[in-house]
Amino acid sequence: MRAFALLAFAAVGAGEAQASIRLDQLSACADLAATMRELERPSIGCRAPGTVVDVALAKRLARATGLSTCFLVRPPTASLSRFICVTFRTSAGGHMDCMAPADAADVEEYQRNYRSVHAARATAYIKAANRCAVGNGDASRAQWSLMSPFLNYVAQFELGFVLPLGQGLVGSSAALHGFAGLDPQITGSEGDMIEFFSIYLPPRKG
Amino acid sequence: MPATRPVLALLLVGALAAPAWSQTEYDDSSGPGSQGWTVTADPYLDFVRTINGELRGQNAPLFIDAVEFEITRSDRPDDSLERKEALLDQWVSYITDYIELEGFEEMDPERVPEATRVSMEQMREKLRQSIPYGNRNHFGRLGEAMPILIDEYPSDCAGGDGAYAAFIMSMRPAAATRSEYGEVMVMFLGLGDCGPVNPRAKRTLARIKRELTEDFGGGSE
Repeated sequence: MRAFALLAFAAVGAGEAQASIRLDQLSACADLAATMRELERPSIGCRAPGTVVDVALAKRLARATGLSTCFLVRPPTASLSRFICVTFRTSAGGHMDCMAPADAADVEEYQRNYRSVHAARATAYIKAANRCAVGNGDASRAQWSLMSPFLNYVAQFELGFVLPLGQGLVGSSAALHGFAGLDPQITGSEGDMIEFFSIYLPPRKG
Repeated sequence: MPATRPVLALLLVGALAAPAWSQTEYDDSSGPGSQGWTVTADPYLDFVRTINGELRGQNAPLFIDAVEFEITRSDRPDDSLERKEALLDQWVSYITDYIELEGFEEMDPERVPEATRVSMEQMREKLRQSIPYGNRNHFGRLGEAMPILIDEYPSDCAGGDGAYAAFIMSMRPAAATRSEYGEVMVMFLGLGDCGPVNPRAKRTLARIKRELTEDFGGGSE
């Protein structure tokens, strides 16, 4: 049953086979801006959690935090088409987390061959993210502590990138893109990986 | 340490099978009494407020207070992880001894399993499971030492049916860090006649926490 559930999760986010992990979300500048607008003025409706990962996330959050979730009926932009996205109502502002299945072998290959093959790609990705007008020009590799506190209930950070959003020295809003290992208690198997995209916006003033 | 309701519920089930934390001989050259330590206290205000609010909502006859000490030292970069863990255990013992001076006694471990039927290992695993999955490798390194102290006859509780408790836990430092030696958390409970209806009980535990914080969490020695 769990294997079928995992396949369902994979089917939702199925895309082209990739030779390596994609480095794209933070450099999709127009879509980043559109996602921010959606968070500020939500227009996409909610659906019930459907995949095994959705259900686990909703259950664990409700049990631990009492937080209610909105699993979007569709991702807010084309660049997020392979993701399942969920938004949260918090006093800390807008927050959206998106998850897509990822190939653990691709993540492992990226990490293993980082210095010889992927370091230049990562640098180029960061440069491209810095060209987005919504960012503050200070994109960088992310540390585990920046991962969404909500996604932490189902996955453990492996690697990622962050783009602070806004102008100047920004501390309260950011977009994150990365990869994390799923809790094997959810899928019934070790080593399952997700790609995540998260965006945090501060509360609107006034 | 991010604490959740399951953690508190687990602690409130009662004392669990904790081995008696025998007196540790302190290493005078580098142990808790030596120079060079930086101890930073976090009074856990939001956590305490939230939990006490939930307890009030349930009309539970207890309240909590808590403090966490982050322990660092930067003048011994060659200390191994094992050495750091040993020193952290000394800090747990040091803080335990301090609280015992307030009239608390470490709970006899033989009394515990009969009441709870939960082993130390089971408790440790439940606590670890209560931490969000993504944080476990970073925050889930629970230390072996979990002393539980009780003051069964506090003078504050006139009815005679109340007690104070103190639970002490530690979080091991992560590997490959230079100055981190881990954290020690102390949670105080006022129960029954020493519970939320007793303002003297609240003042007493607040004083013990304040003095503990001042004496331990004052920064660099």
